[in-house]
Amino acid sequence: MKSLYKYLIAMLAILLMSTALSLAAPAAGEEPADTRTLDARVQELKKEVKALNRDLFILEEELLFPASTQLALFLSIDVGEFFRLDSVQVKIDDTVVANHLYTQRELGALERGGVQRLYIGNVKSGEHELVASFRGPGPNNREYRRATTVKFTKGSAAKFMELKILDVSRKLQPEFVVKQWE
Amino acid sequence: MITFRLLIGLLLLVMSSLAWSADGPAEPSVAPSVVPSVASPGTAPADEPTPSDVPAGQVRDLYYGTVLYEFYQQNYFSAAVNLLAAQEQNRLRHHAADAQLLLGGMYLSYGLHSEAEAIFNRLLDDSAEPAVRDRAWFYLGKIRYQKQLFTEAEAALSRVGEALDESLVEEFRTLRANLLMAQEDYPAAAAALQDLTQGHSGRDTEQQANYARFNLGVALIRAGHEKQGTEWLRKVAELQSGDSDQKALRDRANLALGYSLLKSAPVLARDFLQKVRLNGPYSNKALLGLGWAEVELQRYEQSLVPWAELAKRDRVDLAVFEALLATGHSLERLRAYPQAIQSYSNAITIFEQELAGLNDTVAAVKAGRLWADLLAQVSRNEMGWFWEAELLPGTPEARYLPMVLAGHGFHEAIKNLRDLWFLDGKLGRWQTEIPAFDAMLALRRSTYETQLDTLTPEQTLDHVLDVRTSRDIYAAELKRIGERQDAFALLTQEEKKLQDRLVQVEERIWRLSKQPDSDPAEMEDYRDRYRLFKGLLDYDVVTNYAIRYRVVEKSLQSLDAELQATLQQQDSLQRARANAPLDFEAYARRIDDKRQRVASLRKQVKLAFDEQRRQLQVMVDVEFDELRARLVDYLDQARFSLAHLQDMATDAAASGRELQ
Repeated sequence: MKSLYKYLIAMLAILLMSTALSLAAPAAGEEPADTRTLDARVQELKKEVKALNRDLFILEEELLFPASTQLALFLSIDVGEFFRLDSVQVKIDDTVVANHLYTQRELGALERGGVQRLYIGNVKSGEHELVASFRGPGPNNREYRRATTVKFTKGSAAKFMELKILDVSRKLQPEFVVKQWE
Repeated sequence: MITFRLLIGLLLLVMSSLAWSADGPAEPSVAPSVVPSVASPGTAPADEPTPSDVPAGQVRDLYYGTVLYEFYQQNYFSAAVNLLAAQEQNRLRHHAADAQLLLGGMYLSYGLHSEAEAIFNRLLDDSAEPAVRDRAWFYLGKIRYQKQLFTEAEAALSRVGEALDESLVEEFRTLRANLLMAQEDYPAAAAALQDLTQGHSGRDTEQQANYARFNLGVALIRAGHEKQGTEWLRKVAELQSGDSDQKALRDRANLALGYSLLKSAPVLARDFLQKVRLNGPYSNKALLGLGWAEVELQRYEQSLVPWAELAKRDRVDLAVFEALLATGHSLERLRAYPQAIQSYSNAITIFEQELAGLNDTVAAVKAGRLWADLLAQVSRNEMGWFWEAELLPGTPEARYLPMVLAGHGFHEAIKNLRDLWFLDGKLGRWQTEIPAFDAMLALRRSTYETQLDTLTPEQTLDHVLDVRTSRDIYAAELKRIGERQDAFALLTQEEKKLQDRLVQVEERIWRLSKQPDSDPAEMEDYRDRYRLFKGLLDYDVVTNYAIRYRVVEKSLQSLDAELQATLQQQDSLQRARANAPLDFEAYARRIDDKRQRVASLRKQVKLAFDEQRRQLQVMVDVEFDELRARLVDYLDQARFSLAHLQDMATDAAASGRELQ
């Protein structure tokens, strides 16, 4: 009787141990629970979505605008005493490729040194003509419209051009310059 | 009287929360910068990236400029993505360190402290430039301060040297003062703030000085120098400004002074409270305090004026509910018992209505309507990372939210909810756009194959090789001509024809001279003329040999250059032909990988969104329970007071008097 009692105790102990073990270890194929706080997980997700967006951004550009045909136009302004940009239009080889009306927020960003990517597209290698026209209140707050033309050559590398609006104190009027970047 | 005791208790609670909310970083995630959380310059939250976070100087990389363009428009997500992409594409060669600092600053604002810290540590390892190092130490100090690692923050800030960008100096000094405040070293904080109270020239610096003056007042009072602290608060309370933030700061100083003097100098307190604008963010609390100042002066009738105004206001502030109770209290003290009974009855009705409204709200929130309304209000366009209370929907469900919003983790949680909503929108958009990538790739593949098929015979390599063989023959011929000085090998077609005609002429002269009846003199004349023309042709050919040889030689050189270019193009074409299918495959794999990542992340974002919403639900439930308890308490007090007055009326009636 005593030995039977001992045997039962031993069985019970084994049973309890195995139960404890099965409780401690997750079942096979079950994913371990994420023990991080929700806030930590949200931060991690933000980081991952940002990285994914970066990759997609690059992939999209590579697919749509390969370097051999890529042309990117940028716009910047340097002060705005003599001219406040309202709108800009860009033509490449007589085709309108960009038309933009500026909000106060966008103008503010430009005035503080931001550079707008105005257009990205594809052109064949060879000679091309770009015509950019700017509108907005000029000196003495009168409607001011000015166009600038530049001929450029597209090679096998991506082409970057910057349209710059500068105040020229000497002339008391704005100046529009097209700068070609390497 | 129980009501009076409770109201005084509430009053003290309001006082303490008002005057000393700058004490310590009770909720660093919401208001990491302790002093600026009370009085930060500008409208931007204290830890939002400001223009000062952007290193100054000329933009030398176009793509860095595009990052700034997004950044200045508060499109922080786009700014960060543009920056990461430009880094990946090696387009930030001149602004590598600036870009890292900017990214670190944005991560810091986004709450990605670990990433921000890693960036600044990397900059400290990589950059020898003092300006970059100082900026990195400054940001590290800021991160550690926000994490409440005060000793470590102090260690980082102590490493900031003389090269710190001028635009950050003020913030750096404020941060040091905040750090001292957070460590409850008020005398040292007050000393640090003293320096900041000296506004130099310029509107912004004067405004910042006012914030520093306010905080100095608070620090001095906490350090036990009440008189001096009050003096500084008075300076702020008297400031003249048309700026809305400065007006709010002035209100805040007047309110703090008013409440702090309520018991000891009620007349003075009333003066301060009267200076608080009637329609500012502190007007409700000022009106409540004004009434209590009058009570302190036992001018019960006058106390009714601000409370009557307060009672008419929108019930989004506990001060309005308190005014309802306090009105009854003053009327009671004026012995205007019927009016007091009426006032308490009104208050009871209103409290009961509010409790019923609150219960409806709780039911609506539980049904999920609040979150739907809230998110409908929030555009999926990025607009900065900071939740603004003004964006709360105008639905009945949201009515009580401003009351439960303040001073709790709610702010962070709702920001997370909004961010997750934004991320879900972004991922959703990519999910619809990725099929277009497949289409783009298919188009490129088919264009490539079509172009291969349409190559003309002149564009093939065999043709080019034939041309090269011909060129070699010509080159050998030219070499032979050169060696033999064979000028007649370089005759033009015209000259060749002339030469042939001269041969024919010579033959005819010979044939004519053999005729029996030929005239020898005439024949001799023909021979002379033949020799003259032949001599002229030979002279021309021989004397122009060098020029002709050079022209042909140059043509051959030009042909060599053309051939070389054509062979290179052929080579490139061959490589493209060999690699293009591999490139297409690589693109297809990349697209597929992104498709899977988008789907997987979207799932995770949705899960986190649901969980965040559940957490918010719990938080809102707790807050609503507390609000309900407060309303029930007000209701009990009003009922008790009413019952008391009714008892008095009954007693009076029993003794044949009228309660007046």
